Amino acid sequence: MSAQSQFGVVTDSETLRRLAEYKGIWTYAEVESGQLTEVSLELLTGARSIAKKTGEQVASVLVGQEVERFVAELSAFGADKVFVIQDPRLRSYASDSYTEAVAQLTREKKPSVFLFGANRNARDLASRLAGRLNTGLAADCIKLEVNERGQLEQIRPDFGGKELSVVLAPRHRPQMTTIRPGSYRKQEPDYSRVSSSEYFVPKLSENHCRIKVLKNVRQPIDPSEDIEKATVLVSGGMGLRSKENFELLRRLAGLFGNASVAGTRSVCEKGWLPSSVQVGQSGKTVSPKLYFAVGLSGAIQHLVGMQNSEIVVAINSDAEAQIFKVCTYGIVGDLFQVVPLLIDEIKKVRVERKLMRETVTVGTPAGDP
Amino acid sequence: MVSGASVGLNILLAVKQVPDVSELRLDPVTHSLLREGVPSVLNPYDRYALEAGLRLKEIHGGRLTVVSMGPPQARKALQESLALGADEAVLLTDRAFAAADTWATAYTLSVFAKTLPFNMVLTGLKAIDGETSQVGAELAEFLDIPHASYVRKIDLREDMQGVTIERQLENGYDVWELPLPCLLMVAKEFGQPRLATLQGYIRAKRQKIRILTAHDLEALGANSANFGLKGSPTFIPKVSPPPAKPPGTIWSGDPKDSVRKLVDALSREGFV
Ligand SMILES: Cc1cc2nc3c(=O)[nH]c(=O)nc-3n(C[C@H](O)[C@H](O)[C@H](O)COP(=O)(O)OP(=O)(O)OC[C@H]3O[C@@H](n4cnc5c(N)ncnc54)[C@H](O)[C@@H]3O)c2cc1C
Ligand SMILES: Nc1ncnc2c1ncn2[C@@H]1O[C@H](COP(=O)(O)O)[C@@H](O)[C@H]1O
Repeated sequence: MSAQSQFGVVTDSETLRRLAEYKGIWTYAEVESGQLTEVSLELLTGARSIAKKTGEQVASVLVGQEVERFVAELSAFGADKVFVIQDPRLRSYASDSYTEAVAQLTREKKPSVFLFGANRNARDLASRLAGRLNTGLAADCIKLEVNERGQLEQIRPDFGGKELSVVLAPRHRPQMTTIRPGSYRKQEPDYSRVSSSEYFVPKLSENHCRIKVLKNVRQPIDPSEDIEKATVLVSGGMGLRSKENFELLRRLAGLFGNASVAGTRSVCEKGWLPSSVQVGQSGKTVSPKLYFAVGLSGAIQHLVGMQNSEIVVAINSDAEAQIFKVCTYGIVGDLFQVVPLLIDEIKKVRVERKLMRETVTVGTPAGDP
Repeated sequence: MVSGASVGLNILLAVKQVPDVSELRLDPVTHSLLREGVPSVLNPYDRYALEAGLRLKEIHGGRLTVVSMGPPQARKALQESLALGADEAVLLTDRAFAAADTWATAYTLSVFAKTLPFNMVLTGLKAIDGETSQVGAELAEFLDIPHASYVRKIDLREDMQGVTIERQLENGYDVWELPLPCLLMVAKEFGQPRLATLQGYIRAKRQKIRILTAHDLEALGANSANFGLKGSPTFIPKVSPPPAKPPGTIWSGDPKDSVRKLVDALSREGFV
């Protein structure tokens, strides 16, 4: 381990001089189905947190056809600068043309860090680009830090989330990372922020456009399955025992605004819930304000997908269940007893509070709060 | 790199031997990963790539070569591939290859690939130990051929000069046309992979696995500075168990009572 740590220390002046030429924290702004992806905005939060430590600027790279209309949104969410690569041949994603276009810009501008969302197309692009730029790429990271040597520490769950690894690329630039959606929360947009934009015209030859995109077929995502955007998530595990019993969780979710039902891998494999709402290592990473973990054990592969939730409420009949180790509040008990009681109690408290407010308004003289 | 049309399809398929992740356990005291004695298996995602390769071969004829970079035990993954129907297996094994990241892995595989007359390269979507999904695209880059990831359907043109594929995305799919040679990373949506038969295993036992060391690859023109940990742009200076959170408030006993306390707490947090 100490030998490996030594490995991260760069001392020769030639390498240090070369590394110092690279400046700027970049994010890839991915456009999909006519809009910026959520994670593209979340990345800006991560980028800003690094930029604050290293004193660098944050820039986004926009690629496609007629994409300059997204510049304002990127600045509102934290970009200081936006590079716009527009070309009819970049109308929709293809691994060869996109790689070459972004590689040309990257070689010219030399950023020190380049972040991508861990969406399918973006991580595909990042992989091929890392190959072309002969640099490292850390996959599926959930957190970024800067160490005392100014190197980017890219933190990722390994072995199905059983371990957290720190990935370093001490001698290569840019330091490239894909970040799981939901790892960072996007900032409150500030549309008064202005950033500069710069147009870049890539030199694309026939050889860079060998792939022909024949069709892009898109089905809109059902909002109830869009668990990455939910404020409240009610998540169920094998303790629910059947597909029908998830109705109970839907009733609980129905009490909150912007709430969805999600579940563990075991539940999705059973077909009790669609796989699009699976939380965890091989599912989605979520960070709602409130996460109910009902009848699920809290396997590490599940925990890595929800550990960024603000408040975790665990309901499980087994007092030893792992989920109680990460919860904010927990109830040891039978979910088929607890959840109906919980639904009733929330309703009751809300009615009481409403009644109280009404009595107060009726019974108090005007002017008094 | 391109075979003559008469040769038919020449597929190179990269497979990895991985620890069976479901068998991994944490040390109860140190919370570090216990690696010893964990059984190794053929990477489950590579079975979909094998399935794709075997079906293409059944339709169009040709040859399927499997290659793996790894410790001597990786023979097992290759043997399994032979049992499933691969024609030839090659193991790249040397201490010098150890601790390679995806870049160095792809580089090493590419040196061998360049010695073959392939017109299609297949990989799995990801390996369950690292789960990076990067090696396929990086390998294609080193071979300077186009690639597609998340491939769920493959239609090879009759003249074997191009292929039409479907790529499974989060919210739909793309249809692409690529010229051959190309690299395809096969997704599990491709279809249920077959199981090896007893005859397959018996045949595989008799087949020889070709072994290539760092020295052999150097003789083929490889730059040994690109192998293993030394050649890897990234490395992992430290691993740790996921952080423990401060303990939460947990109620047991009368469920009515517990629920009341929970709703109180949620009210204070502004949710009720
Ligand atoms: C490579 C890999 C990737 C994986 N990825 C994921 C992933 O992305 N997401 C994921 O979730 N899992 C994932 N897993 C699986 C994971 O290891 C667990 O198997 C899974 O999360 C367990 O699901 P569960 O909690 O629903 O079931 P169980 O572990 O069976 O837990 C059921 C729980 O319900 C409780 N219970 C039972 N009856 C009641 C009742 N009446 N009232 C209250 N509580 C009750 C039990 O006490 C128990 O704790 C992965 C595994 C591997 C190997
Ligand atoms: N050491 C290796 N030897 C052969 N093929 C590999 C190796 N590592 C990765 N691959 C291939 O690359 C795919 C993606 O792996 P990864 O990028 O590590 O998730 C795997 O499914 C394999 O097909």
